[in-house]
Amino acid sequence: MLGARTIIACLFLTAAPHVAAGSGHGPVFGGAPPTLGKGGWQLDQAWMGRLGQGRGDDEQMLRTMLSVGITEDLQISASLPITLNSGIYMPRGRTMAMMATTQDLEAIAGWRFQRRAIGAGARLESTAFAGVTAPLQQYRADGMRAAPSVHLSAASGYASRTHYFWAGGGYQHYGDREGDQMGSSVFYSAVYGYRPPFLRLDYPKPDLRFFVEAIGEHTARGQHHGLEMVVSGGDSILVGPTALLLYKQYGLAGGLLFPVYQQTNFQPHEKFRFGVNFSYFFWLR
Amino acid sequence: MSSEPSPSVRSAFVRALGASPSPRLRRTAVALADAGRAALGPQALLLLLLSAAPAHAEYRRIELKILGMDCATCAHGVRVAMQKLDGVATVELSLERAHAEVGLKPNNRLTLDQFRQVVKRNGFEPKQAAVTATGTVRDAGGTIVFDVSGVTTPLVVAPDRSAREALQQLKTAVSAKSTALFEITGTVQQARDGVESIAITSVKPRQ
Repeated sequence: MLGARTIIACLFLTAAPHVAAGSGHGPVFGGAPPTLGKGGWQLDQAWMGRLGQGRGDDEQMLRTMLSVGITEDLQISASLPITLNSGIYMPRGRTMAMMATTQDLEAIAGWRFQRRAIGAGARLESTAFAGVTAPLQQYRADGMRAAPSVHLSAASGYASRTHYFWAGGGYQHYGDREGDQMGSSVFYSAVYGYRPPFLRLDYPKPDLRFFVEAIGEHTARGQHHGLEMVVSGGDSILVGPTALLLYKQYGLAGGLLFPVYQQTNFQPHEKFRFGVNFSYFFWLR
Repeated sequence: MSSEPSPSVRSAFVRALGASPSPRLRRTAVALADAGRAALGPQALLLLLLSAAPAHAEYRRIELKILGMDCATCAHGVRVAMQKLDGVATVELSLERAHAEVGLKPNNRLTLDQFRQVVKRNGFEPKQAAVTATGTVRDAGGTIVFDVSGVTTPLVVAPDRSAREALQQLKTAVSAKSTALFEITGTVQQARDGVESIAITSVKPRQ
């Protein structure tokens, strides 16, 4: 008989949590294709973090991201962090889809390679992402030398006036700096969204919808001075509710994720993860 | 030459410019008509009447079906982009009905294709359109065509009795080689070979 962890894990396809936190679609943590049209801009201000079970295990960060639609299918984004609190013991990962957890400058390009409108207010679409991070400090909070990283991911799904579903996955790899290297990560996510009939208001009324998001992470062990760090890396699966409110050119999204499975290689467990993101959409021409 | 414009010329002048959207132009027209008796003869006044009367082929209203638009921000982006087109007066977007209704200013030079491009640039798919436009009609090799904003579109009749009567009215105008303007309301449809036509539902001569 399948255990609960197995069932939950089977619900997830490999996905990249590399898609817009606070995008027009809405997942806070999981992946979804971007929605900026050609010449459209988006400014995101996120507050995200993870709370651990021990004292001093918490992480909190502010991250500001600016995105632009180069074409209706190509979007680039860049984000900068402000670290409020740095936890050093929990397995590394990406707290939000388009925003890294580390204290790095990050740039991501998203190419929507498949798009099909299938009716009034409904479409299928898929996007591939590629990104790089560049450390803003020489050393990370755990004393390891910081190195840049690259990541690749993809997300695919369905959006309509009532239901949303996206799945995605990806891989992030950190460079080696004088024998110090963060463990690579594999991410996957699945999101289901629902806009109940009483919230199906027409433009320009506010647009509110709810999601259930699930993400999974596998982070390999890191290296310090060329030696594998036994107490590093780990696996986790988290599930939780989020919501997105859109009104004209403003968006507000937020939610929580709770671990349903954790394997932390003797590091503190995560109690929950949170994210709040404010978006502002604008057009220069 | 009489220095006094005839009543018929004056009234025709004012009536033609009464159709003008510009209140200032209308007031100017009345003042000119009254002052014309001193400076202009009736023939010159008639020329002024014809040159001042609006004779521009243009779209007046466009309703465009848009597929794939699911959220408020989607609609807002399309609305902002359409409002930036020179000549747009009003834009109303509906997510539930999946369409945009655009009211255009007089003397605009906009084409239907420009609105389609706006929709595509925002990542959505434009579908059928219903238009109200003022333009001229002519015979092009046996097909009645409608010229508006530099685009020529064949006219066909919608399956409707009033539409058949409207088309007959146009055929009569074409036969008489009339250069009058007509306001046409209809649905733009695309054949399999990509050729567009307007299935007219109503026709009104423009004054």
